[in-house]
Amino acid sequence: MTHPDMKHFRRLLRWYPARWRALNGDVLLSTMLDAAQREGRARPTWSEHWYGFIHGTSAHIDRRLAVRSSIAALTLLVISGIALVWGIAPLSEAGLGWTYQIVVTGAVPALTAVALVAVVREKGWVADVRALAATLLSVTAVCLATLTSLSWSMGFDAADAGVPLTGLATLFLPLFLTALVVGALAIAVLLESLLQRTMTNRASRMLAAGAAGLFAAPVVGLTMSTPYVSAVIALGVAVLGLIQTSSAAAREQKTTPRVDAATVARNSLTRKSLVAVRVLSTVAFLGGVVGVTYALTGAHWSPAATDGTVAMAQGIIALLLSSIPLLGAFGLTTSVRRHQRRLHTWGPICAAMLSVGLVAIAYLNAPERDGMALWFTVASALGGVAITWWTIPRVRLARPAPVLIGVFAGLLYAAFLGMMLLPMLSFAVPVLAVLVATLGTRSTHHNKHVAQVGRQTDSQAASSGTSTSQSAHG
Amino acid sequence: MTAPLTQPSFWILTALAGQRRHGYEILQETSLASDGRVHLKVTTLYAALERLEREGLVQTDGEEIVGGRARRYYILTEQGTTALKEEVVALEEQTRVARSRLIAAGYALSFSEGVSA
Repeated sequence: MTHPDMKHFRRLLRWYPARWRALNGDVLLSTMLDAAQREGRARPTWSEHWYGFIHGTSAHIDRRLAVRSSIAALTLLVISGIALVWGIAPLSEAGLGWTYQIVVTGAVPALTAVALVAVVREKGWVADVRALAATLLSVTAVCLATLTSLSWSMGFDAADAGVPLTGLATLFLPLFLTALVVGALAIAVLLESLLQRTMTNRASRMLAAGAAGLFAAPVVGLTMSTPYVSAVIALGVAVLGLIQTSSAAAREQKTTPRVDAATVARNSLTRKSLVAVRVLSTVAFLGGVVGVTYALTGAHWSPAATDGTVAMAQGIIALLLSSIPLLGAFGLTTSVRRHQRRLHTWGPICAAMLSVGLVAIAYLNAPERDGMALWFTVASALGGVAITWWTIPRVRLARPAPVLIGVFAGLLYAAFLGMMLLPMLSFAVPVLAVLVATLGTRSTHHNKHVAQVGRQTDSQAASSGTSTSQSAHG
Repeated sequence: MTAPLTQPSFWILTALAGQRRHGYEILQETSLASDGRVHLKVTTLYAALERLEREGLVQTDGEEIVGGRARRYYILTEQGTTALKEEVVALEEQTRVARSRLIAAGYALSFSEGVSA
């Protein structure tokens, strides 16, 4: 009788991650040896080799890979953001501007795509073979898209200089088409798996997935090549990965506090705070309306606005200053509603107020970049601190997930988004003021009603309890 | 809406219905119960078990060392039992419809002789 040779079977385990081997290796090996012994084989079959490779390799595409890849993408984005805002000129002068392009349009989307496939596989929505195929196809598509982007840049420069296209610049069309097809395949492979839950007919499922892939590939390719979209997607995938990684024990430890009438009443705004929220929101609303009006029309009627750019800058200053009372109103509404220490509400709110104030000071020097740069830097850093401080105590996941999410959200804001978004966001101040004044105080009215009903129920229960005990004694 | 069970998943859940089994037992049972139509590879079995475990349809139920070899036992969860029952009902419904159409078309069905016109 032929006995299975353990060393040949053990070799199959090399495809698996070390952690998987430690948890499951002995069990898998024993079952393979059982099967081989029954069939009188000394070595694994080709089929076992193939499926061992597929299953073992895809076992690497797990939640750990999702977290690591998304965090690597976020780190690269933070570095690119700093480089873009403060230091890309020396890179370009040294002829290394392409490195930024490779990182932002290549490395970051590739890492994010890998993390996304890992999250989907971890959820059990795609089988191993498809997860492996989707990973390889998406990384290949991103590499081809990066080459396409470089080819376009080189072609653009050549056309600008009036010289004929050479090398990579001549390959734009074939690269673009190949990237499109491979990207469409990657999306189709994932979609086809996801559609299994709703479409049982395989042919129509493949047709729908293929058509959606072809349509979505250029859109996904273009949006993923912009750092802002990549930042949002990478942060979202990191959060999903960290949620999956958070231990079940940590989630079980989370207890739901009993909400009684007294707690509800305590979580409501006092009359003074309610008045303060309304006054602050009204000030923010009026200031915001003035700011928007001034920014858009000030050049036509204000003697202080010499042209449209100056009017826009002055209007933005008014909008930024109006957002300070709005932040105060928001702080008042959230400081009573949330189960948070007041320090974790007012600390980030004060940092945000200071950040907004500094951006307003920066706009006093607009449009002179040199005069604005220092204020913008400090304001972005303070905005990042505010976001990190606000996020960490409010993410209810096992550590270090809240710290990672908070730190990266803050870093991304400081590196990229704050500089670009804050002046644009300030135009929403009037709308946000109305929302805070209505939604922020509405919950207080609701809570007071709940508290009143709760007190009535408590007193009824107490009196019925008393009468029951009296009748029992009687 | 839950996804219909794949053939391997269906036979693994069937093998575990009412009984805890270890990996090799599941392999034998699926081959036996499916009349040899489903022959799972060991790695495919563990890939499927991992996926079913993530979906909450099966769970591990202890490990033993027997004859120097590690055995991990699996059982059906309540969710797994419900999924298997739903699949059986769906299959019976499909069978009923197909049978009635064939009979209406004049085909006689016999379990031993197959289909005859």
